Amino acid sequence: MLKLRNWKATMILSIIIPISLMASFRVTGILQEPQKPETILASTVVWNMSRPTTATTLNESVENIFTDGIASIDLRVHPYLYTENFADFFIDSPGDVVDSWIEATINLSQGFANTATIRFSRTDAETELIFEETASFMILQNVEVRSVRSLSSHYREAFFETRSVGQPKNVFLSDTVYWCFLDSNTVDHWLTVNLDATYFNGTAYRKATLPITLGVLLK
Amino acid sequence: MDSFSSFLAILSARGKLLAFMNAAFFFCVFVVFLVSEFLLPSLPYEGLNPPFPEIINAGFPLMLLEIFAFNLVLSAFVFVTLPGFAFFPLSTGFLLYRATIWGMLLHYQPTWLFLIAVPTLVFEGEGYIFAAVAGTMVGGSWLKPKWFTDSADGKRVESLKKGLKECLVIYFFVAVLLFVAAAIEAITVVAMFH
Repeated sequence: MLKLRNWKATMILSIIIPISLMASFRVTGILQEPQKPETILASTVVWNMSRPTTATTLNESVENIFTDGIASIDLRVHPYLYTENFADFFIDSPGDVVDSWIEATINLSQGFANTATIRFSRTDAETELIFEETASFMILQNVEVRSVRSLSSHYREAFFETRSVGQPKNVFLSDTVYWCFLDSNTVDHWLTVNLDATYFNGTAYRKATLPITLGVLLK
Repeated sequence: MDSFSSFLAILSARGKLLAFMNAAFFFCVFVVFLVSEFLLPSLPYEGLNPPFPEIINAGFPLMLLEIFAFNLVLSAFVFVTLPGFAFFPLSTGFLLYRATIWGMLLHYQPTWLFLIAVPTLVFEGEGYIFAAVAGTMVGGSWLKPKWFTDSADGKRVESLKKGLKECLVIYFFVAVLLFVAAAIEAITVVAMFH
């Protein structure tokens, strides 16, 4: 019976002692908790166009820039082509597509870039967004891809998540995205593109969010 | 009731092994948590970012089922118990690997989230510990019958049968522990993300 009590006591103590120690180290500040980055939200840049009825070359450029003396962060979206009744991306019937080139740049005079994530969120169910995952379309400098998720009927948000390699002062990433419309010119489409850039400025972590809102509207 | 008394009998027979696995798992979590502070780079906490949003969007019952099934089948059986069937120390090795992952994950969480995760750690951890005991029992029963079973003649087939029977009884309680852990995790996730 004593034997049974011994291993029961060992079991209970082996749970209580390590967990109590971890909790007390954290609560008393002996072990520091991860720093929460200061968040900066830049003003939204809005761009929209009337929806064409035929294939059209767009060659547009929309840009949002943030600078704070140490960091210079830049998000650019280049909608370059509108295609009417394109069949490749659609299962049921051909749809319309806006081809865009997305670029994100982080330049720091001190510290290092930590993560860069581009998020896309739609406002209507008639939209899908596909990332070009072919290596030749994706340009990554000093970053590696953590995860990519396209927008589909299952997800309202798409993202392109990267983490810096080493502790670089300069980061660049770009890719092509296809913004697909499932309707037959019946609804307005809005898409919000956010760049979340986290960087260490030498003393603290900061997270800058740069939003761009794109619209393709009915005439 | 029968299986519960069989379970208690196994517990009292394997008490030392269970106590050893418990101490090894939770102290490994603690050591990795502590060592990560000095060895791993400091990273910012960027807020709650669900790794599998599709599981969270599935609704509570489905989320509970998915977490439970994943932990029971993949994390416990395939990852911890099954390697032990082949070579019994592997179960302890993979259990310690899981403890290492837990320690690193906890290191990167803020204190409030660390405290919220503790109940899940205890129940899920206990589930994996029992799974490791089950794997060690079966693996040891055919590799070293005299160490793990009472069969004095050391017949491997008889010993293996006994080991598998014990494994089955233990696994019933692994399932109970992991279900409780999945319920706590699902409730925590729902409370945080909705």
